Amino acid sequence: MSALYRLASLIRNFFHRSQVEREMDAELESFVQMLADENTRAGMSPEEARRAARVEVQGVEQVKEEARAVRAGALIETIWRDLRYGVRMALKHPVLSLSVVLTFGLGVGPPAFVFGLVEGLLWSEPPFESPERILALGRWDPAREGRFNFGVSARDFLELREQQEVFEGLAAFSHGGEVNFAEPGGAPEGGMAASFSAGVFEQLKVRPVLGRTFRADDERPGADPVVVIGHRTWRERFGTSPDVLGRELRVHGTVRTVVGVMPEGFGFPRGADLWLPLRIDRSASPAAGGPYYSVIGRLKAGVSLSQAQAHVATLASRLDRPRAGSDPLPPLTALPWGAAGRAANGVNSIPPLFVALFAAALGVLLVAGANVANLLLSRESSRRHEIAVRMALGASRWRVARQLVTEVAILAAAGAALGLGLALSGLVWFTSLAGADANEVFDFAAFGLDWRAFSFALCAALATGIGSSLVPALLTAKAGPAGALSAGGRGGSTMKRGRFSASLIFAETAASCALLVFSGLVFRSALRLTGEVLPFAPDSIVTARLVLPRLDYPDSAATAAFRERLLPRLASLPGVVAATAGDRLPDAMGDPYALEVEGRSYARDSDHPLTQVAAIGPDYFETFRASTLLGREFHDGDRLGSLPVAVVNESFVRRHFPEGEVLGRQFRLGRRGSREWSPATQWLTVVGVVPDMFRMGRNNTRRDPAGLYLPLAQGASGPRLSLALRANRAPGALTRDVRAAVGSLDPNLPLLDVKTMREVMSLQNWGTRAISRMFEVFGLAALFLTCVGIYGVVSFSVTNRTHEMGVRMALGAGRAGLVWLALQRSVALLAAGVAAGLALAAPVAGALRPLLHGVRPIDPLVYGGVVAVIGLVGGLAALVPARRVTRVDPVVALSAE
Amino acid sequence: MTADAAGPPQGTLDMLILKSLSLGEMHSLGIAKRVEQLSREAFHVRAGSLFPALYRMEESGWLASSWGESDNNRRAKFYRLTALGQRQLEAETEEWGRVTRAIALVLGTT
Repeated sequence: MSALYRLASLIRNFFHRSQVEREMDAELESFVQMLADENTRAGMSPEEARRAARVEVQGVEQVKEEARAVRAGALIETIWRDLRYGVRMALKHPVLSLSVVLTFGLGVGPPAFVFGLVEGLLWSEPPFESPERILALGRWDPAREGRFNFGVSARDFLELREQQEVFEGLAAFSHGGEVNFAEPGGAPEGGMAASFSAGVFEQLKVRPVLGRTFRADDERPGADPVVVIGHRTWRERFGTSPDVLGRELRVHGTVRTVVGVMPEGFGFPRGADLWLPLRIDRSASPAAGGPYYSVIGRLKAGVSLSQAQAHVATLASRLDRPRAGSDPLPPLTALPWGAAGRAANGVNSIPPLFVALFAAALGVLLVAGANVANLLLSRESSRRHEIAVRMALGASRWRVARQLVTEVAILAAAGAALGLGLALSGLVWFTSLAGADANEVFDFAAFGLDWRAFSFALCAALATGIGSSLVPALLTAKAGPAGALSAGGRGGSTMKRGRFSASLIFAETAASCALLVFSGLVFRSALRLTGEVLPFAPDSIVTARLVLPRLDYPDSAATAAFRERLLPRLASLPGVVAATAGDRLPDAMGDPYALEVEGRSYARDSDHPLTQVAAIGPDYFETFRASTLLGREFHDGDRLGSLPVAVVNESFVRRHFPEGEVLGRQFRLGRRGSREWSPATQWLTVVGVVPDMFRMGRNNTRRDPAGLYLPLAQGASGPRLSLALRANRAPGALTRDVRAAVGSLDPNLPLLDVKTMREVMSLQNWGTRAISRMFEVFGLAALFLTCVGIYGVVSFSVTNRTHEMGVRMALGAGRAGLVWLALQRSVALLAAGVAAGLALAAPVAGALRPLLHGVRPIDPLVYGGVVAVIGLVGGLAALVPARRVTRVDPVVALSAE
Repeated sequence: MTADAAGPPQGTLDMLILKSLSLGEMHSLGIAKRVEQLSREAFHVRAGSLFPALYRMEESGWLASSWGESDNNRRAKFYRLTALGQRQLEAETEEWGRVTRAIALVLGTT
């Protein structure tokens, strides 16, 4: 109750301050007046009476001051005054203030950026209404295996959907995949299609802008084929016409009726363009390995997460019982969708790489903090006089220190704003890179700055600011009025200040040296990745992909027939030197196969080594300009029914046939994970060896370049085909010809992902390049800040020692000697800092190993380079101001005081 | 008003002001005089303690104020007790009684 009055007063005091003050004046005036009246009545003259009243009151101003101090919001009032004074002071020294703000910005930007990244990765929620109420079902046993498995069998889904009582509804979807689609008579185009059961849109709470979504009878086998289209397709294919409903769209061989249009920006999952009804085959038994769906449901109002989880567990235990005896599956579990996604991708904790990145970013902040402290120290000496006057007039030490800290807090807040701007532009950059990648980790990940990142940046800036201003502020306050007013700035505390700023320079140099080592290492590995000498010009190879619909190409023979008709046409296009096809391009990586080399025995399933496999068409090696080192390439004789053959790469030979003899050796391929080794192929005979130039996926985390090739003609041809053409023509014109060639064989087949080989390669390792770029930027920012710090400290000490230098010069000291004298200390500090930095970097660099692509964490070239760079740049930063010593005129210097 | 009169004991000024206002509304000088009068001139209330106390209690909602005319036709601000202030006075009086009884007991036994 009382607090309420207090609050009302606070508001009144704050917003009607002049009125409150006027009233207080009037009241005190009437108080004095009434006292005087009394005195008059006691017989004094009017003047005497008034004087006696004033004496009685003991100072009207003091009474007012005491009364103000009890008013609500008195503290806020003081802080407000400090703030206004601080802003005035900041504007009075614009260069210094600007440097401090910039330094703060450069320091706060990197950690805020990494914070935003980690937050996007760990805390992003599905972009739907109240996402925390949407649960995902899946199999998860946190104790046994960390990953959440989204697969729910058709039978489990149908049973759960009927029996559950805690969700508004359960709905299933599958990510589907690439499809070709076109309206009748239109040019075909590729897109992503997802299959949704009835109710998925409803659980997501997304409504169509036109028409309807799926109903239960759309799920029945034999129902009329329908499709819901995305906004982009509506715009580009149907010109946003409202009579699109009921029109036809040919989707992957099936003519479907458009029944709904989704709103702008909706593209779940993975940028889907079209949604097809999920056909659920009730008879499909889960034992046969399929089909599995993602299942989600929105909690009914009033149902808590734990209630729902308990309910699902009860239902699941009933469902799972009949199959007891076979291998026990992890239990069916319901998790909030976002958390399930993270559990599925194993990103429940911050990956070590991001810890390293965050540490590097904090290193930049540390360097910035040291710099700010140094800048403030230089200001401190110029403000000493002002502070001394304030203290002589009665300001307490605490009050002065608080004023100084407030001033820094203002600059820190401005710096935090700048840093947030930098972080935001970094996140925009990262999002644009990540957007090109359909990696599952980024399904829900949105990288931006929210209140958490905002408060983080502000706290980081304020903590750094207060931390770095405390020592200078206390030094100033401690000096006391007498010392400062008399000594004119020179005395004991200069020594102390010198020691303090020397230790700052040391710490700065050490931190930026360590950061530069990290960035040097990742830079070198990035060079190794991109600078690798390729036998072909990456711009001269154009690639594209085709996805053959099952309806039009029902079996392997049909696919093979299409391919065998297409390739000669491509090869005969003008300007084409070589054309080929394969199930993947050299730079891509698929699921590895397990290997069984003839004559070797493996105790356990997991003992089978893993290797990369690509199925390729004729002229593959010719297209990528690789020549066989041993044996032969595939030829027309390698067909179904002839001897199954394989070509392996050099690393494969080194790893699996170390004895040397290769041609004619045999092996089989299979998949890991089953209970018993079951080869998926016949014995394959090695007929040739090719160089390693086709790194089978450069972002291969195992960094095992061993791989092999099989002829497409001998295996079952899948629906996906990658094309590659090496030509001496511009890619644009060539692409038109390729599209025409494909269209002449099948007018419904669009050409997907037309890219040059250079674009393909840069897409493959964008993550590595992005993180490398971050380390580089952080390292350079730290180096820049350190140089600014060194420059500031040396020039400050040169200014401070003008008198001393003048004396030395007058006594006959040489110029070179004086410069050395001014440099001496900085050089020693630099050397000590570099040594400490290297010692710090060496053990930590191991954490970067996943980024280094074979560059050793202790790479002499990088360490030597960093020492050279810091020595050179740091030395220059010290030398420039130190040379000013030589311009000292002894006469002027000595008479300066 | 005697020169040697001291201020009221620490922490009791609020109670004394509330008590003097319980008799009716009054302006600041009146309150100071009333406290002096009631204490038989034992306590002297300085302006420097009176006004902070008045403002603090007003901001806490114990007192309400309005401008009016004094007996000598001077404009003055008059304070009066609110219901909240009345309750505060009762609580403080009771607490004070408890404390003084306890102190008397302690002093009486030695």
